[in-house]
Amino acid sequence: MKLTKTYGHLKKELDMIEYALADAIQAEHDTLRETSTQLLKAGGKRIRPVFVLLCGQLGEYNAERVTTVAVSLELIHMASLVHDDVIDDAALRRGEPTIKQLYGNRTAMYTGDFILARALENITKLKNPSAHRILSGTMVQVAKGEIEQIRDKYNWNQNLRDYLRRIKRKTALLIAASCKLGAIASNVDEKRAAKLFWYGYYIGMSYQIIDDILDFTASERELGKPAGNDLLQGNVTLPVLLAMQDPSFERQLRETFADPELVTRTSMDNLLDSLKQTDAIAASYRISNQYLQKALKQLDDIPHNKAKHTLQSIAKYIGKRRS
Amino acid sequence: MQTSSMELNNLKVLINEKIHNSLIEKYVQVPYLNDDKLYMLTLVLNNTALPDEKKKNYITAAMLVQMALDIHDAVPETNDCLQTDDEVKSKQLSVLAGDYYSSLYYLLLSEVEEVELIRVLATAIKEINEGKMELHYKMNEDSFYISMQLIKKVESLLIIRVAEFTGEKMIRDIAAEWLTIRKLSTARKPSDSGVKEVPLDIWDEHIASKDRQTIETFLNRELRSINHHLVRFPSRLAGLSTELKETLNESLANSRSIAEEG
Repeated sequence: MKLTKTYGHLKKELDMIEYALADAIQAEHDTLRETSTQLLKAGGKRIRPVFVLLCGQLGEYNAERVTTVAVSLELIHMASLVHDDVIDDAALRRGEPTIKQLYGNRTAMYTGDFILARALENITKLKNPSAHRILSGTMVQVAKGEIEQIRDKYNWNQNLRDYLRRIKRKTALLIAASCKLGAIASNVDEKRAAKLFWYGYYIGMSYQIIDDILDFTASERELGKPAGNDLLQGNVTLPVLLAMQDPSFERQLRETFADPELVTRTSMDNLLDSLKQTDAIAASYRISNQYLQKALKQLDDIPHNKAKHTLQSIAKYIGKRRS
Repeated sequence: MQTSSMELNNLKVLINEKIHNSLIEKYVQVPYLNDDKLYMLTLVLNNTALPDEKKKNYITAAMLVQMALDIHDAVPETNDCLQTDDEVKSKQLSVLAGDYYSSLYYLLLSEVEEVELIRVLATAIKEINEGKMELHYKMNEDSFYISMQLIKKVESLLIIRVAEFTGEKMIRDIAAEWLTIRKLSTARKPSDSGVKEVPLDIWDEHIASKDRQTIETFLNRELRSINHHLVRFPSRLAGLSTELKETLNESLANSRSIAEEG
């Protein structure tokens, strides 16, 4: 089953969000409109809007407020993608040429800044100061996390805590904020909104760990990039950290990356084979599953309804994700 | 209305403390905190009756946005010129620094519950990026004069929007010309260290190939325009009017003496 099937009943609300997104990225400049539209059409799972909607449905649902939050969170995500492609010098995203590749770095930078500005302009429709404090605080953390990721590249001496803090900032916090802001937009009480924040946080952690596992286990066709690409880029993820507990793997890793410029496809393939010989992948899944169990636990006190069941289904789907 | 150098220095210290990040500082030529823009913003706010704390927050937030925009202009168009690992890191961190400063302005204004100013600055950022795109795709197509008008707008829009938000009108009307004259009269003057004030800026791209005469002609036009406004300043701002004229005359004299020596 596809992830989108778990929230198929949200189609009407998601369509509304899609219209609002299309409206939000309308620029006066032709190329800016083209690049923004291209980003929008590249699609994606719209997972942040889904969490906003579902958590919004646990309170006094107000379509306008919930849509406002969902649109801004997706725009923030889109802006970060277009800038990430400049950072990583990425030619392709989801198998399609990136804005940077088609138009150059400058246009990609301006597009990202434009979209981010639209996200903030849009969210100011919400007059709730605490919503702004949550979102802005999250954005600061995300930016710091991205900077740390640059610092930690090819650093084989980092530990599990470094990794977890990085993925918290990279992925978990924005999903947690999506859940909490959806709840706030629907006047869900504070205690329950906090539970939903942690649900989103644990889901985000689990989701990113599985993403990091799939970088080693999925095929190039499924990934849209070569297997082990994260490691090739110098990103030290959970499977690598766990595999490094095996001294012979650690030795091979350090030898392979003695000069990151000189890593060959053959030496990389050998390294991936060695990693799969260790218990690292299974152990990573176990850690991901612990986060999922914590996420599900946060929903215990939430009354039974369709939104809650969907949040549970998403958690279970993520746990089973293998591609 | 006083804007002392001590006040400006205190603001610079405050802003630099806010943006401090050791990794960015290691690899990126930390974006030049544009003194002229800070000065203009401070004049705008000092010409309002807002409490000091609000003035400080407004200036800091607007300067964070300005620095975010400036550092993103320093991202090279292609990666062909990036030879070393440090140069690649510098590009990557220039992207991230801009995003970081943007998030800091939002955080600062969220903490003091200035939601309306968040919207005003976000709208300005949107318009500035529309303008930058226009400039980027019109380069070498339009006349120098049209390009300059667009750059003027892009470079002063943030200050103008803050002025409009606070109800300030006098400085708003001269901000664009004042900044333009200051910029053009120092554009070819290397800084004391011999390094440009920012790795690359939107002005340099458009004026680097222009002869002095073309720039002078444009400068004179701007001077006429600003003087037209300055003579209309009310008597309570007479001191400020004089100060602004002096700063312009000083930079023009410097620029002309350098041109003559050249």
